[in-house]
Amino acid sequence: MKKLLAFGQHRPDTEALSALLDARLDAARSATLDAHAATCDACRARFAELRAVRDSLRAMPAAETPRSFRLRAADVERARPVAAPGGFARALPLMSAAAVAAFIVLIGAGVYANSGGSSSSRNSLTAYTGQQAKTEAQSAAASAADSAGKRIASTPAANESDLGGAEAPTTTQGAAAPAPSGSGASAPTAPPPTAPTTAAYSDSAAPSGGTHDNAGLWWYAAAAAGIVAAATAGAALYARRKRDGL
Amino acid sequence: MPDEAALVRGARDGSLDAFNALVDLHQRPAYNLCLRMLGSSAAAEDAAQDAFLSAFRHIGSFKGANFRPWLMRIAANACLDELRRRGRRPAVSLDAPVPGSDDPPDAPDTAAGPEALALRREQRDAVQAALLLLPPDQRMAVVMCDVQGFAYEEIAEAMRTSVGTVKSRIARGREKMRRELGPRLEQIKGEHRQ
Repeated sequence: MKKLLAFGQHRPDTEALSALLDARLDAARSATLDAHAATCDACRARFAELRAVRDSLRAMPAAETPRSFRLRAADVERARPVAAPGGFARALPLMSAAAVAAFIVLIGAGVYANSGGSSSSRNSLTAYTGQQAKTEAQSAAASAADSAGKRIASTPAANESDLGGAEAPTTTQGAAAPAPSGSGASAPTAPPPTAPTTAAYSDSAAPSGGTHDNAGLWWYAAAAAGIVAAATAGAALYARRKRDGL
Repeated sequence: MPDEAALVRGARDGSLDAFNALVDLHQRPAYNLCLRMLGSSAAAEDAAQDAFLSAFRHIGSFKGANFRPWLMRIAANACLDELRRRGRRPAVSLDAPVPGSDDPPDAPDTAAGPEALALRREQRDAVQAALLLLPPDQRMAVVMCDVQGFAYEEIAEAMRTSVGTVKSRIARGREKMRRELGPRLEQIKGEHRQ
């Protein structure tokens, strides 16, 4: 109750006085505070002012509703899509978690492929990752995948496959990225000029198959962008549901 | 008085009639919370409508025993959405609410003359304006406690927090209003003494 100040005065404990106003202090505390306020002008005055605030709020009239808020069938039809909990909405957090896990696996695969994995295993990882990047980016976040795809390779075929959905993704990927079978040297794709650092790292890390690995790295970047977009969207929706207490 | 638990069960089974019976029971406190949170009857009407739609959409996930705090929480969230929308608007807005101007008219009071009524109206506007200066969490706690007369426990349930936090929010809200209202409090004290 008594918070001592420099000149022997004390600052009234607003929280205790406010609780006293609502009769929400235990009996002992309440008696102590009452006894103190009897001899303390500052606390008495503060208590009276807090009571005036409360009284002014209590005096605010309860308004009638301007109309009935009963729902009509038409409102309900609009509301239907989310009416049933579960399904997609309930799976969102799980999807987010899966996306994050996939992201971690892909990063791990990328690190492995660029730091000592055998040539053949590197090739198969590249093929796997490229395909997965395509699928996940398309299904989870079309726009993010689209922009990522444009960054990966500027060949028209690659962009078309980003927009075009499922038709012959493997073939198109073959044009954008090195062929999975290891014919990377015969189908070189120049890394985009916007990523000199990654290209340099890739070249120095794997001098024998530099071009091939560069493209692989870009596929990892595409996959990462798509997965992060999916995870972010899922987390945002989940946070909103949680905030609504639903 | 209809059995609220039965109405909730009916609404969860998809009965619009059951849900609308719940609307009848709770629309006035929900609307009044929105009115005091937003200070404008038009905005409060929209927020209350959004809240009931949202409540209907999510009634399946209501697992608690008390419907009212759950609904009040949804109404408060609808108000927060409205406040966020307002925050994105330009600072000077033609449709900005005038505090208190949407209050219902005073009940006919033969004892009070026009001057007294005008004074009361002015005070009420000042109180509503001071309320709108509080952060939303304190505003919600103060409105539910002092304007609507909810118990601390129910406010805590609606705000998904502890009774201690509610107590603290109410105290801080009242204290801010005390400083904001300043000299007007003397008037108010005098009026309530009469």
